[in-house]
Amino acid sequence: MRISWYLPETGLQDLVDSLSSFGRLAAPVRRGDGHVYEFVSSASDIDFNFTRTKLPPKKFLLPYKRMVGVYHPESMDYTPVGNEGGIVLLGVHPCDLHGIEVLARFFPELREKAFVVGVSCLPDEHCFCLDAGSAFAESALFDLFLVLLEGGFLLFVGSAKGIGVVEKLKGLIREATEEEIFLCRKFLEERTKLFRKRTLPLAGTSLLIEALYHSQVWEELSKDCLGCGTCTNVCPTCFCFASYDVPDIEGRKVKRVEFATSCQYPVHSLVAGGHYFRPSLSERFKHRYYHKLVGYTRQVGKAGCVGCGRCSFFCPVGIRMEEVLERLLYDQGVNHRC
Amino acid sequence: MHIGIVGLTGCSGCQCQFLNIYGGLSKLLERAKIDYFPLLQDDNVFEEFDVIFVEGSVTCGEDKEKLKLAREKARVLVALGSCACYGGIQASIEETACGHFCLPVSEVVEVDCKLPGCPVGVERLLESMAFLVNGVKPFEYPMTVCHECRINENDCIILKGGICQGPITLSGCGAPCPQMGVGCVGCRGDSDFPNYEAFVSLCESKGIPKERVEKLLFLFRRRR
Ligand code: SF4
Ligand code: SF4
Ligand code: SF4
Ligand code: SF4
Repeated sequence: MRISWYLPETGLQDLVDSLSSFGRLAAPVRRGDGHVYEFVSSASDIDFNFTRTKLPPKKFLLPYKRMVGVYHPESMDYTPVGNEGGIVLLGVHPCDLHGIEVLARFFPELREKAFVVGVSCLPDEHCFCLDAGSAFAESALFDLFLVLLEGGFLLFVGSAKGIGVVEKLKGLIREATEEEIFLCRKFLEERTKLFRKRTLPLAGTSLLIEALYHSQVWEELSKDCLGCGTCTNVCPTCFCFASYDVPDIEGRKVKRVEFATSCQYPVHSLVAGGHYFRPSLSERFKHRYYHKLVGYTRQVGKAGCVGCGRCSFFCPVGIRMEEVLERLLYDQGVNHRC
Repeated sequence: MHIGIVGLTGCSGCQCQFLNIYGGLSKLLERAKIDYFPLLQDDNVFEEFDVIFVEGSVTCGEDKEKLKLAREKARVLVALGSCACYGGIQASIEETACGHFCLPVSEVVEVDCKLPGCPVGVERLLESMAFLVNGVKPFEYPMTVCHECRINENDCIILKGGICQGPITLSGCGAPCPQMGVGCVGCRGDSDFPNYEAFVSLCESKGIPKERVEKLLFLFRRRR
């Protein structure tokens, strides 16, 4: 069976319909100044013309606030509350596909939960997925991948579930021609040229970052940080959460709720007895870089930064992931000493 | 369970939130008796209470006496709203005209729980009531207004060129102000260890002079 197909633009609604058996479908739509993933049923609501959504697709996979169980305050009988069925994520850029892959290494059940359709994109000045090794769908988690061409899509298949969908679309799609595959190659080539050039790929720096744990740079750069937590809240791979139990007013049942938190909040490192493991701003600031670039790599064999640029784009004081790393790795002359 | 709702110097807006919890109020009344709530009812008794909510700041001797009595009679004393928690807008004027004081409740008596907000949010009030009637201290987890704002996927006021105190303001309101396109004025008070210096330089970089920023900053926050 061929693995690349051509779907005309007019067939997008059919694709949307054919995915309904996998669960509710979320896709990028315009809201305010940007784009957000929202549940849609009509292909005409979908807008692929975006660089990054405000929140990553993580918001459906690991909801920011989720009820996970209920128990009776006396009998203590606990009933877990499961996630309501599957979900289809349509229109996910390669960085976010890798973000899902990272999350799935921590939460394996996510692999089964979502049917994921990737889509091609063009970078802006904050994107550095090329450096992070996550600019392409390969080695990430996806079922189908669409490359936008004039008038239609090249459709690639990434899983057995994806093959099933292609079968359903027979009649609407046709095999991609060699010319179309050539056009796709050209597109990827042009896209690659659009990234800011860097001398050292991020993927190869975790040991250096670890070695620079005591660098003065952390103290210095963290001075501007407001500790708002935006950088982790918008990140496709951050998964930290806390939980609490809330009784109902009648005293009949207690709900257990998990919610996203951030290592940028002092409370994140607060333990019983009032001790903070990361009492200073610079320790909290450093922790994020350290966990993403060193910690994740050791934990799941893949860095926790996929270069989506959200943390840089949304930081209210303009702290940029890539600039912090450049300052850390270059200004101290690390590259010259080797 | 016996509940009292006491008003000191404030606008009564936070007390009114009890009436805005609608269905929640009738559920509450099944489990608790409101013995004292002069804003709402004519017949009030002031004896022993499981929980007393105190709204408003302490600005005169009468407030002080009322508050001390409330503390004596209450097993749990809750500071309700930003006036009770931080002193309120009235406390932002450093010296009141005739040398009067304006104190948060916690500077006069011991407080068991703070529910800030101007006014305190209905959801937060309802959730806290559920904890309190079950004999549990309301859950607190200090994050920032940005946390809730980003999760709601609002457009960021600061990124649009405006000023918003969300990054250094305590979460819990759900970020209604940025949602309506208005910068947060910090009515819920400080987030944990707020970085004032960075916030002031951010505002200065947008052309707002330091004195003006500090005025904005300490509208609700307690000046330290
Ligand atoms: S988004 Fe920026 S200001 Fe906010 S915590 Fe992250 S680095 Fe600090
Ligand atoms: S750290 Fe920043 S650039 Fe990297 S994946 Fe997270 S949000 Fe994207
Ligand atoms: S609008 Fe205000 S609260 Fe919302 S993200 Fe921006 S700075 Fe934070
Ligand atoms: S956004 Fe700010 S001003 Fe508005 S309710 Fe929340 S804390 Fe108060």
